[in-house]
Amino acid sequence: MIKRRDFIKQSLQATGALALGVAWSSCEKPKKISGTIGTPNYKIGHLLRNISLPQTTDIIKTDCVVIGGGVSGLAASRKLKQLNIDHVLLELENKTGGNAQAGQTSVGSYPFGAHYVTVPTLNDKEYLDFLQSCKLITSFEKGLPVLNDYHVCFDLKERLYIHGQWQEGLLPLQGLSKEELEGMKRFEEQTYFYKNYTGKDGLPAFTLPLTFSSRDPELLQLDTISFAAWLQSKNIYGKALYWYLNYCMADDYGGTIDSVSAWAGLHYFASHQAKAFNVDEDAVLTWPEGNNWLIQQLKQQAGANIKTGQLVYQVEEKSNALYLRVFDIEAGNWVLYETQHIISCVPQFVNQYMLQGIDRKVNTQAYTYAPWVVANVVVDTDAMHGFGAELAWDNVIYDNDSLGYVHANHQQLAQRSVNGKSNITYYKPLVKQDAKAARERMMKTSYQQWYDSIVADLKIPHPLIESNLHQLDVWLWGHGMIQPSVGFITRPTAKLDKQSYRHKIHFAHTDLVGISVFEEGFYAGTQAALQVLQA
Amino acid sequence: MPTSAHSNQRFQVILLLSVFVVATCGLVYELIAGTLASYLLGDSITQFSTIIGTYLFSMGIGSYISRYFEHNLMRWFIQIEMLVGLVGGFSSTLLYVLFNQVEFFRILLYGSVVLTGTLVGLELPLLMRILKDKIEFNDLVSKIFTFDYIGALLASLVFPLVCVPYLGILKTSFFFGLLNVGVALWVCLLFKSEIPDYKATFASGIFFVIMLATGFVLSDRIISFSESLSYSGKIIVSTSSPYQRIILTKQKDDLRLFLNGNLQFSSKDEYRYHEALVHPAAVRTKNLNKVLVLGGGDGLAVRELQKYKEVKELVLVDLDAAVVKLFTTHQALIKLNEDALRKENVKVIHDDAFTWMKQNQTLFDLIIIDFPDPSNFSLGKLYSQTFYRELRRSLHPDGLCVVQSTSPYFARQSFWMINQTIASCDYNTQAYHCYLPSFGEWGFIMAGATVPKDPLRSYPNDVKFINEETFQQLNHFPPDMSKVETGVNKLNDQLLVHIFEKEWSAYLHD
Repeated sequence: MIKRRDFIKQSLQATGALALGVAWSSCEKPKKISGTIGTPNYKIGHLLRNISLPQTTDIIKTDCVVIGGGVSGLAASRKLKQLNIDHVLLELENKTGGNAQAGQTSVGSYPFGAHYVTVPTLNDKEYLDFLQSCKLITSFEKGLPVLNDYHVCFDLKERLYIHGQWQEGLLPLQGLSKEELEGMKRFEEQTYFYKNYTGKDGLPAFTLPLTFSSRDPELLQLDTISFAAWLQSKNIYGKALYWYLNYCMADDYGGTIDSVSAWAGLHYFASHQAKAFNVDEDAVLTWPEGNNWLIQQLKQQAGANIKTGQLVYQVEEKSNALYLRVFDIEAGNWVLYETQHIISCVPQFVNQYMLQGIDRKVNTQAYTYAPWVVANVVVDTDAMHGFGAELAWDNVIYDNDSLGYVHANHQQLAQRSVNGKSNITYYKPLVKQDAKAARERMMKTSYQQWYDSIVADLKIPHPLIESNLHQLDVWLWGHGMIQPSVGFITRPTAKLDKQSYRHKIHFAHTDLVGISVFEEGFYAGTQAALQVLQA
Repeated sequence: MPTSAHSNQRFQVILLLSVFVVATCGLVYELIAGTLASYLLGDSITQFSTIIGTYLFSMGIGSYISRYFEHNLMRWFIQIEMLVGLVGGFSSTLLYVLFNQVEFFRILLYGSVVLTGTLVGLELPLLMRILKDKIEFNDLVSKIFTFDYIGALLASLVFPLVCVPYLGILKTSFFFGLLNVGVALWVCLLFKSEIPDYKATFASGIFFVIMLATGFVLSDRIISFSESLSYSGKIIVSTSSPYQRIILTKQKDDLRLFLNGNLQFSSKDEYRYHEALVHPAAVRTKNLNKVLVLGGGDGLAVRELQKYKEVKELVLVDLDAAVVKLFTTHQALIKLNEDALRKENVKVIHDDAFTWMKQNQTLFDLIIIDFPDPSNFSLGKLYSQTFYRELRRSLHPDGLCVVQSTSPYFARQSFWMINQTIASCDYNTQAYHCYLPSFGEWGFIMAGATVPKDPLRSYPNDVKFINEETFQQLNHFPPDMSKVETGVNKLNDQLLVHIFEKEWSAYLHD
């Protein structure tokens, strides 16, 4: 009889031999996947500690300085140019675009951030003009915009991986209990009600830009409770529906139904009352490079004097003029700007440091920014089909912490992408934990760790994806987007925070509004430029 | 029988090790069947539940019938082990290959699960009976089940972590089949004195090893070879391009082209299709200098166009260079298209039709469109309003275009939706259809700023099917194919793809 020890020893040997045999006989060895990890230039601040301020510098005089080259900054510059106001735009990164960055692989461009805009409302005439100038609106029929077919998201727009297969659309449809179906019905009734609801001031309950929404106190009351609390108050329950709502809150706000206010939550569902002549109200405009396409259009219409790699270190007010001490990162030297106006298009936690010499009080503690992880993966397109609905633009995995992935090549007309490969862009807001802690952990995570967790998520619908994966690049957004958490949009200081400083410094970042979307940035930037004119 | 303590110990080790391998392989076959079923049939929860249930139940059957096996249990054990290896090793390939071929795939699937399960179920009881005289009962039961469960654990770990990622499903099952037969051979060799017809058993084992090893090496090729089963004729060309699988078959005089398994034409009746596609529009076009053909890399529409001397420039845009190459090099095919593609007036462009169309600046008198049916969202783009608008830009004001528009009988709404989509882009349309023995009723849409009622020139002499009298009849749609109101197919809302899928699946999955 064999002894226990021998038994175990022999078993282990057999196991080892088996595993070894399998490994040896494999025909396809795992490839070494290449990729990079990128973040905005958050380390530049540290650079300053080792640099001493210069005694004298060259002075550049201009009428206005725009700080920040994201959507609001470029929109401001666009308007200033139209108004013939001499100005300079200073951007910290080496590229403009802010959250709407794009990358490039052998397969084409892809977004590293915001990647679509919804059907425009008719509120902001400037925005409609802009869309028309870049041929996104081709004409108006019966007072409604006709959107350019080539940029409206093609069919299939969305699919959801649930119960082992892909279904068309994102709202789970199968295997729902009677209670869940009733919950969904009640939710639909509520959003339908608010879509068509007008406040006592005659303004629509929810619209974009936010400033055109009603200020009816009864509606604003919704900002004081969480979306989850509101759902419960309306007796709306259901696991599948809650998953879907949480997905939507993460997608647009980097939050959850518990962190986001009911006002913001309802805004997401009830503000799509915008109509276009030729497409449904839930259509979106999208491009392979995401909203960076819009950025490029804005840039073409913006002023000529856009400078990247510029760190605005300090703003001072002296004898009726404003002075900006700016460090040119590439040249490694200091420049002093003298100007009458500043449009600051940077988040308030940056303003806090930059405007230390200016008497402006903003409680930055009230501002929460969701950290985001975005990854672009080059894959074999055929491997992404899976079982059920075809590969869509937006591909979401049920009950997963990520938001799934967007097929960046979706808007291509051709039957097949370059070499049969595609860019898929994976999104994951870190909503499950405190933003600051998540941000700190995020910056410590290695490329391999990101790779593993991202591939693990993608493996849920595509178990064999690793053998069809060619490149994986990660981008980390420490401060991805402002979160419209409970009470934020209607915070008592909201108006004060947005107020210009002595008609000289104007503020136009979307964090002041509470919702980080293209339309808000565009509106804020344009308005700030008009304030310069009026001052 | 070996009696010494040493040989008895060796005897046990060998048999228990084979329990271990049997258990590992058994669970792997079960996992393979579950994975394959989820992969091919979808709904993994149902597939895995029913497969595991059926498999375990079949093991019960095996255990039950083990009582009927008597005399020379060792030989039975070895033979069954070899059979498990053979059945388990080949089952996944067989299922994979036959998925599209047989109507009763589920019966086949569960049949193979029952067979494998029964055989695996036989093994343990037999082994226990073999060992019962050699090991004390308590010890025997404890050891056998320990090995059995460890084997199961190993299988459940190795399968998802090593096998599927590195080997793939088919190679995995061959690999474990080899392992099964290998153990059987080993046991056979060690206990040859106990087995009466040892040589025959051993030889059959070697034969199985060769079969499984061949399967392992050729598994990729087996998949592509399996295609031949779907075609009735003999395959004379089989090639793959980046876009599709190209198969040409021959049965007597009949040549048939299949792209991704879908019949494109039969040389017996293709003249009906291509004459109907080209001539009614060609005789109604005022000028016929510049003609564009989109799709149609087989050159058969071009052959019909070459019958008009006026045609000075013939541009063919086809995505797939491999198709065009086949139709300009293969003798039988050159004969079929009368070498139309290599005539001087033909310019072949390999590009995507939509992207090419969007940037094209030339006006054409006649545009012939011969795309595959709108069976997915990619192809559906080529039937969208946006595409027909681009087409309009490239069409001479006096020009005409013709679109192959699937079957008005099998896919009535799809056909009329293509008509309505074209009409929505400021065209006048004329729908018609003809009967093709190899396809059934097929439909076409002719469109232009105006569609002349009567021919402006005469039909060529050497046509076999179409003439004006025939064409007038083809304009008539009987009530079961007559016009229906549908929506319009748009890039962002491809109604056509949904309807097409629904209509054709009603015929295909009856």
